[in-house]
Amino acid sequence: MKHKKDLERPTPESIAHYVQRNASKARACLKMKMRGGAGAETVRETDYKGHSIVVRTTYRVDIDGRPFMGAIGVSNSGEVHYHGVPNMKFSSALDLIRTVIDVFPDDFKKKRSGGGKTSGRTNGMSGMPGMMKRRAKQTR
Amino acid sequence: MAIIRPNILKDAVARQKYAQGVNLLKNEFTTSTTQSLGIPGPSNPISTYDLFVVWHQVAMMTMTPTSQNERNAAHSGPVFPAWHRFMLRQLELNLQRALQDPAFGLPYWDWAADGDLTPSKQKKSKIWAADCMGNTGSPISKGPFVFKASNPQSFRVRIDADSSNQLRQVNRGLRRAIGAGATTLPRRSDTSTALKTTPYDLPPWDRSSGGFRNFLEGWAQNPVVMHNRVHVWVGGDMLPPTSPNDPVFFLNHCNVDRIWEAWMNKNGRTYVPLDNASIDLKGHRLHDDLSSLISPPTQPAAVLNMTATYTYDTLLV
Repeated sequence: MKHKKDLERPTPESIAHYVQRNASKARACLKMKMRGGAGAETVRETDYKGHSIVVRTTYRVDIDGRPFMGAIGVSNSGEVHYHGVPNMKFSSALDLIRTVIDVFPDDFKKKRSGGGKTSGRTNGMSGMPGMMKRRAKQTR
Repeated sequence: MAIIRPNILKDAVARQKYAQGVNLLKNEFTTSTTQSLGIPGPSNPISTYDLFVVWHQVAMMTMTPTSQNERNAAHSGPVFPAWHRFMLRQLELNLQRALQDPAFGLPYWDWAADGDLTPSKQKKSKIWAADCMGNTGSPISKGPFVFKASNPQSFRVRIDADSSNQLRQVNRGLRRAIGAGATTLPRRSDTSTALKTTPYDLPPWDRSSGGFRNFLEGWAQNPVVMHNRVHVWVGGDMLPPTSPNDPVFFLNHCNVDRIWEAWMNKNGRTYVPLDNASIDLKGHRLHDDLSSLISPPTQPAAVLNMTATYTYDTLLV
């Protein structure tokens, strides 16, 4: 099947026309903070043996004393995710934040490495086959 | 007559033309500006290539429905292969214009072939050679997409997202961290499993679904597999929602599209959910409009069979 619209060959002019037409919707999407923003609450619900269960989870994360503004969510199976790193899931919020620091180096300039605490490291992804162990980067 | 999409490692002409075309679109500026799309900073024209980066971000920020933070207009739901097919075709049409070659077919990267190599050999695959996609690094230092501050025509990242997921204007080189986030690419055994996985998709139509779509996207296992694993393995600019900044993005998705085509060849050109599905699935149903920015929209139904427009040199995945 040949799709009629596929025959419309784009030009810089046609592209500008459609961008202008879609601009207000695009602006609204791009300005959107994820639902709930920082401190977003994830609500998980299930029934078990006639009992109704509701689990509400909120992450409040500080990095270098500043609140992290991303909306962190958790799936029904307990995996933690963040829209800013859309292709990954984590079994630990600590590993998620370590990855955020790695993925956005312009937002988190390197600090001199100290021999900080390593407790709390849960090896969220690193303990799984096929994934490398990420070095714990501890900063004071 | 349908054009043929080639394996980038087996077609030197396609390799050279893809890099040339990307750099042409990087330097083709429309009248669209950063200001018109609400991207902070001074108002600058946006190149045709960079509009694909913005479009991907817009689709990713379009939650379907808005009451949740996971399924969006292009990912984590049934529309994932169809939306990216639409995006790839738009890039292909623009590359054809820039190259003045209407027979140009977007190349794909058969990453599962590399995935069957040892981890150290995967990093040395020909795709990362200077005459293909270039190397790893922050920024990369070899290949057709190297940033040279003194040369305004050289490849550069102009729009990326910050850690709060907001777009911003930058002027820097492309970053990759190959093999840092995952030791290995997906393997032939993974693509083989994908072809055997049916049906196309299942409720609840998200990252927890069974079916082919969720396996192909990569959420079906932990750690992530297939498409997601490729993003993670390449790393750097392939990780944030602005991942089309790395031209490898389109080679990855062209292979994802090829796997979808192979699956449909084997299992039929079926798609769900149908139009009578819940309004919560708006944007993912058979005749819903796909998120568009630079062209008229299309629908999943319209892209299920593209064999009159393009085919692949092989559907052996």
